[in-house]
Amino acid sequence: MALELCAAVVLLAAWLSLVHRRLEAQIYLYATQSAAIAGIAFLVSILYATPLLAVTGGLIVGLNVVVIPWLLRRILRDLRIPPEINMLVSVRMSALAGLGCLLLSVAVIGPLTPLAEIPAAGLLPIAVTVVLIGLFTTATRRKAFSQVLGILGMENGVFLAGIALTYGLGLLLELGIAANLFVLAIVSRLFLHRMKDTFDTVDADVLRSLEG
Amino acid sequence: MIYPTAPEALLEAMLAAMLSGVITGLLGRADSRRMARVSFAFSVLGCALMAALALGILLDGMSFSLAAGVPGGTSASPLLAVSFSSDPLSGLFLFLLGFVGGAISVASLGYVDRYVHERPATLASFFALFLATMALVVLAGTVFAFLLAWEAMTLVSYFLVVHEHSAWEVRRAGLTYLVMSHAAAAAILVSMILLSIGTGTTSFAQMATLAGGLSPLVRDCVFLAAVIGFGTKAGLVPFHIWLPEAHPSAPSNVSALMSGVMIKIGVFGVLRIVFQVLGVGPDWWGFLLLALGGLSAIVGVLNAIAQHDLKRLLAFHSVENIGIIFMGLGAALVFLSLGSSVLAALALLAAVLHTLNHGLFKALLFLGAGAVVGATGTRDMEKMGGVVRAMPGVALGFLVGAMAISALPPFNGFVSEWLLFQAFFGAFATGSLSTEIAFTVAAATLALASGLAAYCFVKAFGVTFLARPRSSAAAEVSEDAPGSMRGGMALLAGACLAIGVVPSLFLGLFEGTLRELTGAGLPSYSPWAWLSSLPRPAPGSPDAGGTIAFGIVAVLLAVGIVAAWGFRRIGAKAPAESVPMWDCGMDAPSARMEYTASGYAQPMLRVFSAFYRPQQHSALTELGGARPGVLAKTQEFETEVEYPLVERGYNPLADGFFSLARRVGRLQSGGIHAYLAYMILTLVVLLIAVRFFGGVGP
Repeated sequence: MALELCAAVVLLAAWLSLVHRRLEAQIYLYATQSAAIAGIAFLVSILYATPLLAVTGGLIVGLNVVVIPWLLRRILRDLRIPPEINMLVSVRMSALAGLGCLLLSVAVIGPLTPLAEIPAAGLLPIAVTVVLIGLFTTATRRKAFSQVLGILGMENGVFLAGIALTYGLGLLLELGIAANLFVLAIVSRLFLHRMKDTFDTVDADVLRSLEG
Repeated sequence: MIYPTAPEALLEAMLAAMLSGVITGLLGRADSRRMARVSFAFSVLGCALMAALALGILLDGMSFSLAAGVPGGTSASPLLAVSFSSDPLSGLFLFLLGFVGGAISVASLGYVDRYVHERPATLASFFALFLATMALVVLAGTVFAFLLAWEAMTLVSYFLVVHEHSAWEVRRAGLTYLVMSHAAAAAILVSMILLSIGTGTTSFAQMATLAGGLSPLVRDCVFLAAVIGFGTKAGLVPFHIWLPEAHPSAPSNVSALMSGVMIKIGVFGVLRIVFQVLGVGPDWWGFLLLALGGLSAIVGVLNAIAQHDLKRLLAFHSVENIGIIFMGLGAALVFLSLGSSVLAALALLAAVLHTLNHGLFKALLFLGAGAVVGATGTRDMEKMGGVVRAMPGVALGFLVGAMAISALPPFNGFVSEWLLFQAFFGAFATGSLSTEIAFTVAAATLALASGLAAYCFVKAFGVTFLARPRSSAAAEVSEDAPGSMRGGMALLAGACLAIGVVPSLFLGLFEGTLRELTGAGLPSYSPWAWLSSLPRPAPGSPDAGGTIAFGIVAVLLAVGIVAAWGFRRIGAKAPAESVPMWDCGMDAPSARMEYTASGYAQPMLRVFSAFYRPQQHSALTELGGARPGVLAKTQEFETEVEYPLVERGYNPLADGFFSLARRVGRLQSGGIHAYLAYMILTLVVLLIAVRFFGGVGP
């Protein structure tokens, strides 16, 4: 029951990130989503007696819930990024697209036969939905900052998929992802600083002028 | 032959030696000559172990099969299964690789030390890696293992080709090589995937038993893709264009290894996929190979005649010899489709023997050329000449190679070409008129190619080594190649002579391969056959005796030479008198009065002008005076030949690709959102495809 609740929070957070316009709120949504995934990790580790997964959960809490949101808020403050999100697609269309992602992944992942052997496989369609929504967010936001948020959302989806399929047996893999994520946050921070310096904006559309 | 060790141990020792070669080459500075020597020594050791393993497989019945684990375990896609195993075919090519590679490694010790000035240790490291990857290709038992090793081999050889990458032509040759190899790998991938899907397995051994059940269309596609892919690697016309660019650009020991061994891996691929897996096919398969082989032989040798770049000349001769090998393969396929396995065995014996032979003498020739090019600093034959006095060892080795490649007895080239003629003439026993006509043409083509090859090597040897130096660089050559280089060449030359004189001693190496691929082995031959004859199988009379007695010929030749020498010593009453040479009343004869390579090639350029479309430039520099044209000071004469295949075939193709790329380039809007949208679209389409067109994997 608690597992389903957490999964619902993950899904809802992903979907809300599509329709919410304030960046600050987006960061909180990301933190909430990460916390829910950490919860899932703990629950699964108890259910299937895989203590390693608890380590993963702890990592998520530490990194995604605390450190990365803090980093993001600092970027937001330092670069004085406008708090409103600038979208290429209207909010209504985004919301519909989010539902479309959910439908697609349930339709595709649900019937895969080999998954029947994996108990926590019910999480997989949600994980794929989160990845798809993250990708969609990345593609439809104008600001480089909100694109970073989209990519972070995708990484969360990958985490969730890892938990669903391996119950933490892929600890090494997840550690790899965690390291990756941290590097991503740092690189994007540097990148945004450099972009702000060069173009005086974090609007990714200016990159068009670099076309070869 | 009893081996004290298991084949696995030999294999591991071989790989360990090669790996040590790779690592020692990388340790220390790239320009460390000592590290290069250590690394080449490891290559020599590895090659010796390889040859020992091959002999164990071929003569001692050794076999092994190793399955390597893939990360992800057995639940991973069965397409990714990796295994390495031995069979007579892999043993045969492993022997070629071990022996020729070993001789080249020995020669490299001295060659790289003296003639390679850039990063010798790096070169040695890649060299060892190249040898190891080729061994793995030959031993691969599954599709994935094969492709992995194949790609590694291609990439490593690319780095060897562009070793002296400061020159623009070298980089360009490397690019041509890489692009052609890439296309070839794609074709090979297509053929192997078609086979894997059709048979449901990726192991070559299992495929061979199941491939008969494939539909004729799939079999034809597999055959064509394999011929294109492996033919490109082998340098078969019309896929050969990389070869005359890449071989001259590489350092000469690498050219020797590529020409002597690597292009043979293409032949190996055809044997593996077409002969072993597909087996008997329709007769047009064989006729296609026969036609492509004949075309390669003629195109290769005609182009070689027009070259003045010594290494490019040798490279075109590789095309010619690959053509001869493919003619043998084609003949074997035709005979198999006609149900005549004895003739097929004979044709295949000719082809694989020529594969080994060409490996021996082409490596020898490239090493010789490398020594001369290294000593004179030029590849242009018009600037060589007279080198025989300073480099007698190299000249002797080159002469042996030149005679062998020209199919002159008592060297090995004669044996394999003679066997091929025998196979062609055997076609008259099949009773099919179209086959008889085709093989008559094939025999004539082979005769023409052999004759032209001899013509060409008179030029290659004569202009390079004989007469007076044609340039100051050639005149300054003062010492023979290093001892190890002459040693490596002596190994190869000795093998050329041995196979040429007592070929029957070496036939045991081929027995297993022939039996496996054609169903017929060598006809029984007496233990003394080596002294008298080669077996000549004829339908109806399996033990029809030999037609030529190499051993006796050799003994007679030796006796004759000794007798002539003896008579000369005894009969020489008065000592020979030495007098100045008659110089037609001119001043002392100079190099400018010599026969040039261009001059030598002129008659052929005229006779085959339809092929060459020669463009001649001649320029007179006038001295002036009352009657122009009488007092000419200098005359320059230059001939260029066209390469219509490149100009009208490959260049338009490349242009087409570029314009297509520009059109596709419009997708590249520069907007990051567009790129991300492409990603989403791809992902969604893939997911939908998975949903509606079934899953992948188990």
